[in-house]
Amino acid sequence: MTDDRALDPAFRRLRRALLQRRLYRLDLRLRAEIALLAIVVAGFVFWQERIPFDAARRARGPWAVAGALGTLLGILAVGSAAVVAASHRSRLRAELPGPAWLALPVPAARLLDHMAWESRFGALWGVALAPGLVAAAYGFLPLWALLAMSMAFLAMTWLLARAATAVAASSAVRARRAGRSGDPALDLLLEARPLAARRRLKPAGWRRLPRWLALWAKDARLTVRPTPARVRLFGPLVAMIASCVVWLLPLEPPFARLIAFGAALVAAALLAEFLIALGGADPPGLLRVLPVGVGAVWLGRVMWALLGAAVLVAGQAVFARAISGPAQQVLMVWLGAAALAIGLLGVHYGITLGANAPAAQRLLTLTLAISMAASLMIPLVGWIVLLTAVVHSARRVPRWARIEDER
Amino acid sequence: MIDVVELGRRYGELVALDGVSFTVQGGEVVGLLGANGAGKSTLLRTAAGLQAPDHGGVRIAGVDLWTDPVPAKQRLGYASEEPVFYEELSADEYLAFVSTLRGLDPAVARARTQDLAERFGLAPRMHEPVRQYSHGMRKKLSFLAAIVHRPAALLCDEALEGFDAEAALAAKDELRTLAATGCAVLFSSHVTETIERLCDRVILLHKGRVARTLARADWGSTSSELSALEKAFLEVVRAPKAADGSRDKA
Repeated sequence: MTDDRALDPAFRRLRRALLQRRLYRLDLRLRAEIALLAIVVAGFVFWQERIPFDAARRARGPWAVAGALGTLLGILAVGSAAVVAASHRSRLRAELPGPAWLALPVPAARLLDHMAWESRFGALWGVALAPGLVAAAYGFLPLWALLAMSMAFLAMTWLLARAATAVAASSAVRARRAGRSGDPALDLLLEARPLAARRRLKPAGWRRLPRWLALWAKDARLTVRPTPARVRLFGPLVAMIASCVVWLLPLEPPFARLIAFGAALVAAALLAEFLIALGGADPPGLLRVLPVGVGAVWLGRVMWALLGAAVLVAGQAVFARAISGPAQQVLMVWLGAAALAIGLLGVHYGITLGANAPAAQRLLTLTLAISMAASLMIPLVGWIVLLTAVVHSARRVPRWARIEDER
Repeated sequence: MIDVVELGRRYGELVALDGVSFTVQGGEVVGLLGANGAGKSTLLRTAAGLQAPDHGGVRIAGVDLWTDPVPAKQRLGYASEEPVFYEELSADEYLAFVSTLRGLDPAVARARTQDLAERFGLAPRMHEPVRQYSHGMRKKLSFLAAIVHRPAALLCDEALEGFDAEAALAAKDELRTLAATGCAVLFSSHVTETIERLCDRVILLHKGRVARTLARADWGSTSSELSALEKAFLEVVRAPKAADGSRDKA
């Protein structure tokens, strides 16, 4: 075995590299989305706690606020530690990620320590909630007290997270079967297995189908399995529901129509992203050695766009009762056409650029943003931009069979 | 029949295929032998329709692969060196999907799949997602997907690499059966022993060109340290550079 201290620089470099890699994996848009999500969560926490803190200050003075804030921060720290402990326990049952660690001259205890470092990232969820709480107490406590409590919270979270990994490791070591290596940590790692249990699926349905329908059915099957496409389907569903729920809120009909139309367009855009993800789910070259033409691939994907547009229109037909017949019809025609055009754009980008899904998604976002800006500046010009993009992208579709060549 | 005519393909300045021409008749198993980088995989990928040639063409059972791709691929099977799948489909679902695209009768395709899965040792795990498969199992599945429709032409790129002994025997048996029913098989491998035992003819590919073609009578069986086929291969690979022409850099 290598001297344990001699490994310190190597592990420090490894952790730095892992942190950098994880940061770089988040593209600019995802970082902005995470930041936005953090702000929304902090805003929600602030909104929930600001009034109770104010009530406590009025009833029992600022130290009551300090007590309440301290209690909540303490609960957060303990909750984070529980998350860390659970995550570490699962990690210890799974195969060690990375290189063939156990073949390297690294003490098992050092490997456990590295795994604990990974598990402690689970505490960040608690840290993300804390700013909302601290902001909710702003003005009710002296600034030095808020700073002191924040620092104490961070220190407590760090200590509890370390304690959580130590407890989880110790309990895992105690629960293991008697090993032969004489090193409990090594025995624990040797017994680790991949986390995912072996899954069995239902027998396949053997049916005679047109090629486009076979492709559609395959996409549908992959969408209900744990794939990136399934994750992408969640967004359009939420936006679709939101576009319908708007009509149940106590809003003026013109305002409700505007919000519902906006939410439905967002749903169409997210559906287009889902269609791009479906294109990205086709392994390079798999379909191109099979007797499938681009027409079948296109039709299979267009069915999704048609289905999405139909659901959006049906949703408005059912819920948009607050507006009159002709106005409702105009909304539905406008919405159906826009959703179909956006869906077609997603289909075309998914087919031609699916292997580079992030680039396809950026192109889609750019096209939709230009269409939206054009529409706001001069009415209907957005339609011209959108339809031009659909036609232009359609002209690239027949090159599907040669795409691999271009990579 | 697989008809390769003056096939050429470049990667930038590197000429991977330089006017390769040959024919594999129906019922014939032809081996493709060459050093790493000789152009075997490029040739097979181009013949499978995965890459467009810079010039020349490929006809599968008389159908041009590039002007009439769907009917040509209907007659073709391709088992790749590094197979890719929809990882969340089971082998059963994947083969059903492939069979549907090939327009096979569902009952016939199902029976044939079950039979092949039994013979290749995949039957107990046919309903598991492909993600859970080992390398060898993935290679078997790729091979099964290539032969499930009894193609008129079959391209195997290192197809048996990673097979266990029983599956390798079953595969060789299946290849002979397919050939006996008129299938043209083009089989690439690094393992000369497999090619010696399996093939009727061998094409030695060197630096993107057909360097030599050997019939079975040219190698026969041997008990010497190097087989006749290995000797021929080494002769081609170790030939003076002057004999290779100006292929490397165009």
